[in-house]
Amino acid sequence: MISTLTLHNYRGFAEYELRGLARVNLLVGPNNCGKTSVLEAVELLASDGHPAAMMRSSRRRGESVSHRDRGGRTTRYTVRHHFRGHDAAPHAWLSVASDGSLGRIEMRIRHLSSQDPPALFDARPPETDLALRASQPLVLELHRGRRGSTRDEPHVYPLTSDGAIAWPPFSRPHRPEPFIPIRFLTADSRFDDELRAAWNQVEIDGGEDEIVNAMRVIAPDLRSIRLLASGGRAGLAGSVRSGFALGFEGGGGRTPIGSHGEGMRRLLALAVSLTDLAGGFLLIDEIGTGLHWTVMADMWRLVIETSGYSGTQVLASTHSLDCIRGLASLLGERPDLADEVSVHKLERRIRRSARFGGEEILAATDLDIELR
Amino acid sequence: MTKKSPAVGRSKGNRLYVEGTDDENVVRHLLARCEPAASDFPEIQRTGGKEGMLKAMTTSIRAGTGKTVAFVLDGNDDPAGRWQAVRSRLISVKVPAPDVIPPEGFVDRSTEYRTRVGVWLMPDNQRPGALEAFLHDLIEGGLYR
Repeated sequence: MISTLTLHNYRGFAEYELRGLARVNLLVGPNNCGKTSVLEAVELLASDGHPAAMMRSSRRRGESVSHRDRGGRTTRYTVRHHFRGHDAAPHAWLSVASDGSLGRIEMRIRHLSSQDPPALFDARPPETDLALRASQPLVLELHRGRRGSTRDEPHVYPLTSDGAIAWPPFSRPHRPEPFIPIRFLTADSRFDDELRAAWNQVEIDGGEDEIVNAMRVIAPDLRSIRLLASGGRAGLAGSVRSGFALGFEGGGGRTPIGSHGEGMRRLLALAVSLTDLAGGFLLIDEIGTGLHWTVMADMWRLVIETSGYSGTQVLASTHSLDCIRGLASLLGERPDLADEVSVHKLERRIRRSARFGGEEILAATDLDIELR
Repeated sequence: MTKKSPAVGRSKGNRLYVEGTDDENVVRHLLARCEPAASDFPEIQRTGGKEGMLKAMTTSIRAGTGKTVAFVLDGNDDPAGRWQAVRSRLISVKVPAPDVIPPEGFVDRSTEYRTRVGVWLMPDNQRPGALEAFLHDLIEGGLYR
């Protein structure tokens, strides 16, 4: 768990700090204030600066360079959008640091030099642009500093001259040490392979009933959840070929989760992730998506209680007033949870988030103070 | 022509906190006499008393970057003590409040949160008393004669 996060030259932030992070944290603020960037910074830090984390973020934002090399085996992702001012010229740098177990990472762009190991010269991605072939090659130098780590040497990734990194990489990627479980839930709660794998683990651990109970907040007659492999009969109304299927009291066949409201997908993704990421980080963009205001307090109860059991730290963003009011409503009923949550208001004009603890969240709601 | 009542809620998010319903009514009508544009008219929010006012102070200043928040409260029997209670909260959110409230009231900005802040202690930022004494002064001063 971390309680502070400091960013330098990361995406839109020259210098920014969040202090007093709690177990569950809600990021609020106007459009383009950097809420998603903060979530991505935690993802990158918890991934120990692994380029795969940068690429996931770029893919979500549509920043990938869709070019595929001959043979179609690699995709290129430009790294420059991660640097402030979209600048990945030599000497550009960024850092993300925390006080807790995550330590810090620092990334620097520089030219490939004669001091670098010969293998790195061989590992350069082929230039596609003739004009760039003649320019001096660039590398991304990654410094990592986790507490207790003995690593001194930076890891170096070759870049194309226009600042793109290839995936799979042309040099061997580093191994995050220690591995920290982390998941980024986008607003559309897509059930990707990772989440299916997480559900499989829930089943292995025998935790399906807890998830079903959690989901009854919005579907009181839910009886069961199944993850079906492909192979069912196709083309029949209500049939489920693969994916999550829900069974309800009163019989009838199971129906695909896609046939139900967005809230069902959202709550399932939250419940599964919270039980699956013990000791890790769950990052959620627009946490209230698809949920009616009447279930917000119950959603927060699920998130706060489950993250407390599993030791998962949660950072979520929202633009929703209902989402904040739901949190305040829960804290009114359960003052014992006040120390478990914080709201951070982000503003580009100031260097540090404005933090509101449980009591202040209640006061703000009582006095109709706009926290968003 | 009948004047339209101020469009509360259409403001730019600027907020004026008062203690109770009487304070709200008085302040709202006095403000309306100034005939501000609807967008300049602050939202007026009751805090239900001194404790609510002090609670609102730090939270609203920290949440109010780029906006103005102001507080009208009664000095009662101990205006100096009341100012000290206010001042400690202002300083906690990086508003440079002086030892003694200026006779014309206090206006400055939080250096950290960049919220503009105003505080007025009724009746005149110096004497003991409340909003009622301020109104009495207005009448004595001939405003309504």
